[in-house]
Amino acid sequence: MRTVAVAGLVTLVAVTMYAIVADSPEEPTATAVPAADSDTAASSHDPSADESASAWQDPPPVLGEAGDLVNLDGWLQTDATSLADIDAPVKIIQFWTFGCYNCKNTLPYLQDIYADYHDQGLEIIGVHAPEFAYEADPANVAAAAVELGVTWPIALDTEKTNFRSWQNPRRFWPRTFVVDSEGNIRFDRIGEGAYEQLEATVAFLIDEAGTGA
Amino acid sequence: MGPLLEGIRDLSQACSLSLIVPGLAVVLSARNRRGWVVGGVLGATWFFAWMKAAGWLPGTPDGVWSVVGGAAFVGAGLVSWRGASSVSGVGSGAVAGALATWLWAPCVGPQLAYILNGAPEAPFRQLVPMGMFVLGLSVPILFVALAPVAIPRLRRVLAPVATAGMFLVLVLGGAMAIGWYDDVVIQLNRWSTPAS
Repeated sequence: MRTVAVAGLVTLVAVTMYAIVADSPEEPTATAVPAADSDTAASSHDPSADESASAWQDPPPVLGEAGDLVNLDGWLQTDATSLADIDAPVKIIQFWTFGCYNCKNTLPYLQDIYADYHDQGLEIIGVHAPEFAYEADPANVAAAAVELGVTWPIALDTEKTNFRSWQNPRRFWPRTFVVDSEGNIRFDRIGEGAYEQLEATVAFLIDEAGTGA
Repeated sequence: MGPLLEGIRDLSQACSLSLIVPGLAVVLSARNRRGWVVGGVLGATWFFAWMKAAGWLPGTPDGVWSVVGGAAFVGAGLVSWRGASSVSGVGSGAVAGALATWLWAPCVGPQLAYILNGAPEAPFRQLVPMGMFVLGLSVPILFVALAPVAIPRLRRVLAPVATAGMFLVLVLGGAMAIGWYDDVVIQLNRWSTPAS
Protein backbone atom coordinates (compact mmCIF):
# COMPACT_ATOMS: atom_id res chain seq x y z
CA MET A 1 0.00 0.00 0.00
CA ARG A 2 2.77 2.35 0.91
CA THR A 3 4.62 1.60 -2.29
CA VAL A 4 1.53 2.41 -4.33
CA ALA A 5 1.11 5.68 -2.45
CA VAL A 6 4.74 6.63 -3.00
CA ALA A 7 4.40 5.84 -6.70
CA GLY A 8 1.24 7.91 -6.81
CA LEU A 9 2.93 10.86 -5.13
CA VAL A 10 5.89 10.69 -7.50
CA THR A 11 3.52 10.57 -10.46
CA LEU A 12 1.59 13.56 -9.14
CA VAL A 13 4.75 15.59 -8.72
CA ALA A 14 6.04 14.59 -12.14
CA VAL A 15 2.81 15.40 -13.96
CA THR A 16 2.49 18.69 -12.10
CA MET A 17 6.03 19.69 -13.00
CA TYR A 18 5.38 18.75 -16.61
CA ALA A 19 2.19 20.83 -16.65
CA ILE A 20 4.11 23.82 -15.34
CA VAL A 21 7.02 23.65 -17.76
CA ALA A 22 5.18 22.43 -20.85
CA ASP A 23 3.68 24.82 -23.36
CA SER A 24 0.14 25.89 -22.68
CA PRO A 25 -2.25 23.24 -23.91
CA GLU A 26 -4.03 24.35 -27.01
CA GLU A 27 -7.58 23.64 -27.90
CA PRO A 28 -8.00 20.25 -29.56
CA THR A 29 -7.93 20.55 -33.31
CA ALA A 30 -10.73 18.12 -33.96
CA THR A 31 -12.89 18.95 -36.89
CA ALA A 32 -16.18 18.69 -35.06
CA VAL A 33 -18.35 21.76 -35.09
CA PRO A 34 -18.61 23.13 -31.57
CA ALA A 35 -22.03 22.45 -30.28
CA ALA A 36 -25.28 24.26 -30.37
CA ASP A 37 -26.04 25.63 -26.96
CA SER A 38 -29.54 24.96 -25.85
CA ASP A 39 -29.55 27.39 -22.98
CA THR A 40 -29.32 30.56 -25.05
CA ALA A 41 -30.37 29.27 -28.40
CA ALA A 42 -26.89 30.26 -29.34
CA SER A 43 -23.75 28.35 -29.90
CA SER A 44 -20.19 28.29 -30.99
CA HIS A 45 -20.02 27.56 -34.65
CA ASP A 46 -17.20 27.38 -37.01
CA PRO A 47 -17.44 28.26 -40.66
CA SER A 48 -16.94 24.93 -42.30
CA ALA A 49 -16.45 22.27 -39.67
CA ASP A 50 -12.78 23.03 -39.85
CA GLU A 51 -11.10 24.89 -37.01
CA SER A 52 -8.63 26.42 -39.39
CA ALA A 53 -11.23 27.71 -41.79
CA SER A 54 -11.21 31.41 -42.36
CA ALA A 55 -14.41 32.01 -44.28
CA TRP A 56 -18.00 30.96 -43.98
CA GLN A 57 -19.28 28.68 -46.70
CA ASP A 58 -22.82 29.63 -45.75
CA PRO A 59 -24.13 32.55 -43.75
CA PRO A 60 -23.45 32.08 -40.04
CA PRO A 61 -26.69 30.79 -38.55
CA VAL A 62 -29.02 32.90 -36.50
CA LEU A 63 -28.63 31.54 -32.99
CA GLY A 64 -31.22 33.63 -31.27
CA GLU A 65 -32.16 37.18 -30.57
CA ALA A 66 -29.71 39.25 -28.60
CA GLY A 67 -30.97 40.76 -25.38
CA ASP A 68 -30.45 44.28 -24.14
CA LEU A 69 -27.91 45.40 -21.57
CA VAL A 70 -29.80 46.52 -18.51
CA ASN A 71 -29.15 47.53 -14.91
CA LEU A 72 -25.63 48.65 -15.78
CA ASP A 73 -23.40 50.51 -13.38
CA GLY A 74 -22.33 52.81 -16.22
CA TRP A 75 -20.12 52.84 -19.29
CA LEU A 76 -16.44 53.52 -19.80
CA GLN A 77 -14.64 54.75 -22.90
CA THR A 78 -17.83 55.84 -24.69
CA ASP A 79 -20.56 58.44 -24.55
CA ALA A 80 -23.16 55.73 -24.98
CA THR A 81 -25.60 55.10 -22.17
CA SER A 82 -27.26 52.02 -23.64
CA LEU A 83 -26.59 49.29 -26.17
CA ALA A 84 -28.91 51.05 -28.62
CA ASP A 85 -26.60 54.07 -28.55
CA ILE A 86 -23.79 51.99 -30.06
CA ASP A 87 -24.20 52.76 -33.73
CA ALA A 88 -22.54 49.83 -35.44
CA PRO A 89 -24.00 47.19 -37.76
CA VAL A 90 -21.85 44.46 -36.26
CA LYS A 91 -21.14 44.15 -32.56
CA ILE A 92 -18.93 41.80 -30.61
CA ILE A 93 -20.25 41.56 -27.09
CA GLN A 94 -17.85 39.90 -24.72
CA PHE A 95 -18.53 39.13 -21.09
CA TRP A 96 -15.23 39.41 -19.25
CA THR A 97 -13.55 40.52 -16.09
CA PHE A 98 -10.10 42.00 -15.95
CA GLY A 99 -8.80 39.57 -13.35
CA CYS A 100 -9.63 36.54 -15.47
CA TYR A 101 -6.57 34.99 -17.05
CA ASN A 102 -8.51 33.39 -19.89
CA CYS A 103 -10.31 36.65 -20.64
CA LYS A 104 -6.95 38.40 -20.93
CA ASN A 105 -5.76 35.73 -23.34
CA THR A 106 -8.54 36.66 -25.76
CA LEU A 107 -7.68 40.36 -25.82
CA PRO A 108 -4.82 40.32 -28.35
CA TYR A 109 -7.09 38.59 -30.83
CA LEU A 110 -9.92 41.04 -30.21
CA GLN A 111 -7.49 43.91 -30.60
CA ASP A 112 -6.40 42.58 -34.00
CA ILE A 113 -9.98 42.16 -35.16
CA TYR A 114 -10.86 45.62 -33.82
CA ALA A 115 -7.96 47.17 -35.70
CA ASP A 116 -9.02 45.48 -38.94
CA TYR A 117 -12.78 45.98 -38.80
CA HIS A 118 -13.66 48.91 -36.54
CA ASP A 119 -13.54 51.35 -39.44
CA GLN A 120 -15.82 49.06 -41.43
CA GLY A 121 -18.61 49.02 -38.88
CA LEU A 122 -17.51 46.75 -36.07
CA GLU A 123 -17.84 47.76 -32.46
CA ILE A 124 -16.77 45.70 -29.51
CA ILE A 125 -18.59 46.05 -26.22
CA GLY A 126 -16.77 44.57 -23.27
CA VAL A 127 -19.39 43.79 -20.68
CA HIS A 128 -17.38 43.77 -17.49
CA ALA A 129 -18.89 41.30 -15.04
CA PRO A 130 -16.65 41.21 -11.98
CA GLU A 131 -15.98 37.95 -10.23
CA PHE A 132 -14.47 39.44 -7.10
CA ALA A 133 -14.96 42.62 -5.11
CA TYR A 134 -11.77 44.35 -6.26
CA GLU A 135 -12.87 43.88 -9.87
CA ALA A 136 -16.11 45.76 -9.22
CA ASP A 137 -14.45 49.15 -8.64
CA PRO A 138 -14.87 51.19 -11.86
CA ALA A 139 -11.52 52.88 -11.22
CA ASN A 140 -9.82 49.49 -11.21
CA VAL A 141 -11.64 48.53 -14.41
CA ALA A 142 -10.53 51.75 -16.10
CA ALA A 143 -6.94 51.25 -15.01
CA ALA A 144 -6.97 47.63 -16.17
CA ALA A 145 -8.41 48.67 -19.54
CA VAL A 146 -5.47 51.02 -20.08
CA GLU A 147 -2.98 48.39 -18.94
CA LEU A 148 -4.50 45.67 -21.12
CA GLY A 149 -4.96 47.86 -24.19
CA VAL A 150 -8.74 47.63 -24.18
CA THR A 151 -9.85 50.67 -26.16
CA TRP A 152 -13.44 49.75 -26.94
CA PRO A 153 -16.52 50.67 -24.90
CA ILE A 154 -16.95 48.89 -21.60
CA ALA A 155 -20.33 48.33 -20.00
CA LEU A 156 -20.12 47.89 -16.24
CA ASP A 157 -22.29 44.92 -15.34
CA THR A 158 -21.34 45.13 -11.70
CA GLU A 159 -24.41 43.31 -10.44
CA LYS A 160 -23.90 40.68 -13.18
CA THR A 161 -27.52 41.07 -14.25
CA ASN A 162 -26.61 40.70 -17.92
CA PHE A 163 -23.91 38.10 -17.26
CA ARG A 164 -26.70 35.94 -15.84
CA SER A 165 -29.47 36.79 -18.29
CA TRP A 166 -27.34 36.29 -21.40
CA GLN A 167 -25.91 33.04 -20.06
CA ASN A 168 -28.63 31.05 -18.43
CA PRO A 169 -28.01 28.60 -16.80
CA ARG A 170 -24.36 28.08 -17.82
CA ARG A 171 -22.19 31.08 -16.93
CA PHE A 172 -18.59 31.44 -17.92
CA TRP A 173 -15.74 33.92 -18.31
CA PRO A 174 -15.11 34.85 -21.06
CA ARG A 175 -18.10 34.46 -23.35
CA THR A 176 -18.16 36.13 -26.73
CA PHE A 177 -21.16 36.87 -28.91
CA VAL A 178 -21.42 38.51 -32.32
CA VAL A 179 -24.64 40.41 -32.98
CA ASP A 180 -25.69 41.44 -36.47
CA SER A 181 -27.47 44.57 -37.65
CA GLU A 182 -30.85 42.95 -37.04
CA GLY A 183 -30.02 42.24 -33.42
CA ASN A 184 -29.52 38.52 -33.95
CA ILE A 185 -26.76 36.48 -32.35
CA ARG A 186 -24.64 34.96 -35.13
CA PHE A 187 -21.72 33.62 -33.08
CA ASP A 188 -21.34 32.42 -29.51
CA ARG A 189 -18.17 31.16 -27.91
CA ILE A 190 -17.48 30.01 -24.38
CA GLY A 191 -13.89 30.59 -23.33
CA GLU A 192 -10.77 31.08 -25.36
CA GLY A 193 -10.26 30.05 -28.97
CA ALA A 194 -12.19 30.01 -32.26
CA TYR A 195 -10.63 33.34 -33.21
CA GLU A 196 -10.62 32.57 -36.92
CA GLN A 197 -14.28 31.73 -36.80
CA LEU A 198 -14.91 34.93 -34.89
CA GLU A 199 -13.11 36.98 -37.50
CA ALA A 200 -14.82 35.12 -40.33
CA THR A 201 -18.20 35.87 -38.77
CA VAL A 202 -17.38 39.55 -38.38
CA ALA A 203 -16.11 39.74 -41.97
CA PHE A 204 -19.21 38.03 -43.31
CA LEU A 205 -21.61 40.25 -41.37
CA ILE A 206 -19.80 43.41 -42.37
CA ASP A 207 -20.00 42.28 -45.95
CA GLU A 208 -23.66 41.48 -45.45
CA ALA A 209 -24.27 44.93 -43.98
CA GLY A 210 -22.50 46.51 -46.90
CA THR A 211 -20.21 48.62 -44.77
CA GLY A 212 -16.99 46.88 -45.67
CA ALA A 213 -14.04 48.39 -47.43
CA MET B 1 -3.43 14.83 -21.65
CA GLY B 2 -4.52 18.35 -22.62
CA PRO B 3 -7.46 18.67 -20.21
CA LEU B 4 -5.38 17.13 -17.41
CA LEU B 5 -2.55 19.63 -17.91
CA GLU B 6 -4.94 22.56 -18.19
CA GLY B 7 -6.62 21.43 -14.97
CA ILE B 8 -3.27 21.49 -13.17
CA ARG B 9 -2.41 24.89 -14.61
CA ASP B 10 -5.80 26.27 -13.60
CA LEU B 11 -4.98 25.63 -9.96
CA SER B 12 -3.38 29.08 -10.03
CA GLN B 13 -6.73 30.72 -10.80
CA ALA B 14 -9.20 31.69 -8.13
CA CYS B 15 -12.17 30.97 -10.35
CA SER B 16 -10.96 27.40 -10.74
CA LEU B 17 -10.02 27.03 -7.09
CA SER B 18 -13.67 27.49 -6.24
CA LEU B 19 -14.25 24.03 -7.71
CA ILE B 20 -11.68 22.33 -5.55
CA VAL B 21 -11.29 24.19 -2.25
CA PRO B 22 -14.50 22.83 -0.64
CA GLY B 23 -13.49 19.27 -1.48
CA LEU B 24 -10.00 19.87 -0.14
CA ALA B 25 -11.41 21.23 3.11
CA VAL B 26 -13.64 18.20 3.61
CA VAL B 27 -10.77 15.83 2.81
CA LEU B 28 -8.52 17.64 5.27
CA SER B 29 -11.20 17.41 7.95
CA ALA B 30 -11.41 13.61 7.64
CA ARG B 31 -9.74 12.00 10.63
CA ASN B 32 -9.88 8.60 9.00
CA ARG B 33 -11.27 6.87 5.90
CA ARG B 34 -9.81 9.74 3.93
CA GLY B 35 -9.63 7.68 0.74
CA TRP B 36 -13.40 7.25 0.70
CA VAL B 37 -13.90 10.98 1.14
CA VAL B 38 -11.52 11.65 -1.74
CA GLY B 39 -13.45 9.19 -3.90
CA GLY B 40 -16.70 10.95 -3.10
CA VAL B 41 -15.25 14.38 -3.84
CA LEU B 42 -13.68 13.38 -7.14
CA GLY B 43 -16.64 11.37 -8.35
CA ALA B 44 -19.19 14.05 -7.53
CA THR B 45 -17.06 16.89 -8.87
CA TRP B 46 -16.52 15.03 -12.13
CA PHE B 47 -20.16 14.05 -12.52
CA PHE B 48 -21.69 17.39 -11.60
CA ALA B 49 -19.12 19.43 -13.56
CA TRP B 50 -20.03 17.33 -16.57
CA MET B 51 -23.73 17.85 -15.86
CA LYS B 52 -23.11 21.57 -15.63
CA ALA B 53 -21.19 21.56 -18.91
CA ALA B 54 -24.10 19.78 -20.56
CA GLY B 55 -26.51 22.42 -19.25
CA TRP B 56 -28.31 20.00 -16.97
CA LEU B 57 -27.65 21.83 -13.72
CA PRO B 58 -29.37 25.03 -12.60
CA GLY B 59 -27.39 28.24 -12.16
CA THR B 60 -25.49 29.21 -9.07
CA PRO B 61 -27.44 29.32 -5.81
CA ASP B 62 -28.58 32.51 -4.18
CA GLY B 63 -30.94 33.55 -1.43
CA VAL B 64 -32.20 30.73 0.71
CA TRP B 65 -30.35 28.19 -1.40
CA SER B 66 -27.06 29.75 -0.36
CA VAL B 67 -27.96 29.17 3.27
CA VAL B 68 -29.06 25.61 2.55
CA GLY B 69 -25.82 24.99 0.63
CA GLY B 70 -23.66 26.41 3.42
CA ALA B 71 -25.45 24.30 6.02
CA ALA B 72 -25.13 21.16 3.88
CA PHE B 73 -21.43 21.80 3.43
CA VAL B 74 -20.84 22.18 7.18
CA GLY B 75 -22.87 19.00 7.70
CA ALA B 76 -20.69 17.17 5.18
CA GLY B 77 -17.59 18.41 6.99
CA LEU B 78 -18.89 17.15 10.34
CA VAL B 79 -19.71 13.75 8.88
CA SER B 80 -16.26 13.57 7.31
CA TRP B 81 -14.64 14.60 10.58
CA ARG B 82 -16.46 11.90 12.54
CA GLY B 83 -15.46 9.36 9.87
CA ALA B 84 -17.83 6.65 11.01
CA SER B 85 -17.98 4.56 7.85
CA SER B 86 -16.92 4.33 4.25
CA VAL B 87 -20.45 5.23 3.16
CA SER B 88 -20.46 8.41 5.23
CA GLY B 89 -17.02 9.21 3.87
CA VAL B 90 -18.13 8.88 0.27
CA GLY B 91 -21.35 10.76 1.04
CA SER B 92 -19.68 13.69 2.72
CA GLY B 93 -17.18 13.97 -0.12
CA ALA B 94 -19.94 13.78 -2.68
CA VAL B 95 -21.92 16.56 -1.01
CA ALA B 96 -18.82 18.78 -0.96
CA GLY B 97 -18.06 18.03 -4.61
CA ALA B 98 -21.62 18.67 -5.71
CA LEU B 99 -21.82 21.98 -3.83
CA ALA B 100 -18.49 23.15 -5.19
CA THR B 101 -19.63 22.42 -8.72
CA TRP B 102 -22.88 24.25 -8.16
CA LEU B 103 -20.93 27.35 -7.09
CA TRP B 104 -18.42 27.10 -9.92
CA ALA B 105 -18.45 29.79 -12.61
CA PRO B 106 -15.17 29.05 -14.35
CA CYS B 107 -12.70 31.06 -16.33
CA VAL B 108 -12.39 29.00 -19.47
CA GLY B 109 -9.13 28.05 -21.13
CA PRO B 110 -8.79 26.36 -24.51
CA GLN B 111 -9.30 22.77 -23.35
CA LEU B 112 -12.19 23.51 -21.05
CA ALA B 113 -13.67 25.68 -23.80
CA TYR B 114 -13.68 22.70 -26.12
CA ILE B 115 -15.44 20.62 -23.48
CA LEU B 116 -18.00 23.27 -22.63
CA ASN B 117 -18.77 24.19 -26.21
CA GLY B 118 -19.15 20.57 -27.20
CA ALA B 119 -20.99 19.17 -24.18
CA PRO B 120 -24.52 20.42 -24.89
CA GLU B 121 -24.54 18.76 -28.31
CA ALA B 122 -22.55 15.62 -27.51
CA PRO B 123 -22.41 15.32 -23.73
CA PHE B 124 -21.07 11.79 -23.48
CA ARG B 125 -18.12 12.62 -25.73
CA GLN B 126 -17.02 15.18 -23.14
CA LEU B 127 -17.39 12.92 -20.10
CA VAL B 128 -13.81 11.63 -20.10
CA PRO B 129 -12.17 14.98 -20.98
CA MET B 130 -14.10 16.62 -18.15
CA GLY B 131 -12.89 13.86 -15.84
CA MET B 132 -9.32 14.54 -16.88
CA PHE B 133 -9.76 18.26 -16.27
CA VAL B 134 -11.21 17.64 -12.81
CA LEU B 135 -8.42 15.17 -12.08
CA GLY B 136 -5.87 17.84 -12.94
CA LEU B 137 -7.55 20.32 -10.64
CA SER B 138 -7.66 17.67 -7.93
CA VAL B 139 -3.90 17.24 -7.60
CA PRO B 140 -3.84 18.91 -4.14
CA ILE B 141 -6.61 16.60 -2.93
CA LEU B 142 -4.79 13.54 -4.20
CA PHE B 143 -1.60 14.78 -2.61
CA VAL B 144 -3.32 15.22 0.75
CA ALA B 145 -4.78 11.71 0.44
CA LEU B 146 -1.56 9.99 -0.58
CA ALA B 147 1.00 11.80 1.54
CA PRO B 148 0.13 10.24 4.94
CA VAL B 149 0.20 6.77 3.37
CA ALA B 150 3.48 7.32 1.55
CA ILE B 151 5.15 9.10 4.46
CA PRO B 152 3.97 7.44 7.70
CA ARG B 153 5.60 10.12 9.83
CA LEU B 154 2.92 12.54 8.59
CA ARG B 155 0.23 10.56 10.37
CA ARG B 156 1.27 12.21 13.61
CA VAL B 157 -0.10 15.51 12.35
CA LEU B 158 -3.36 14.16 10.97
CA ALA B 159 -5.37 15.12 14.06
CA PRO B 160 -4.39 18.81 14.05
CA VAL B 161 -4.74 18.85 10.25
CA ALA B 162 -8.26 17.48 10.59
CA THR B 163 -9.08 20.20 13.13
CA ALA B 164 -7.71 22.84 10.76
CA GLY B 165 -9.72 21.27 7.93
CA MET B 166 -12.87 21.43 10.03
CA PHE B 167 -12.15 25.09 10.76
CA LEU B 168 -11.82 25.69 7.02
CA VAL B 169 -15.12 23.87 6.46
CA LEU B 170 -16.83 26.17 8.96
CA VAL B 171 -15.35 29.28 7.33
CA LEU B 172 -16.31 28.18 3.82
CA GLY B 173 -19.76 27.01 4.91
CA GLY B 174 -20.42 30.34 6.62
CA ALA B 175 -19.14 32.20 3.55
CA MET B 176 -21.39 30.16 1.28
CA ALA B 177 -24.38 30.89 3.49
CA ILE B 178 -23.89 34.66 3.48
CA GLY B 179 -22.69 34.96 -0.10
CA TRP B 180 -19.02 35.68 0.63
CA TYR B 181 -17.69 32.46 -0.79
CA ASP B 182 -16.06 34.05 -3.85
CA ASP B 183 -14.23 36.53 -1.64
CA VAL B 184 -12.89 33.73 0.54
CA VAL B 185 -11.59 31.91 -2.53
CA ILE B 186 -9.84 34.98 -3.90
CA GLN B 187 -8.24 35.55 -0.51
CA LEU B 188 -7.04 31.95 -0.45
CA ASN B 189 -5.66 32.46 -3.93
CA ARG B 190 -3.81 35.61 -2.89
CA TRP B 191 -2.26 33.83 0.07
CA SER B 192 -1.15 30.97 -2.12
CA THR B 193 0.24 33.13 -4.94
CA PRO B 194 3.68 34.70 -4.49
CA ALA B 195 3.74 38.45 -4.92
CA SER B 196 5.21 39.40 -8.26
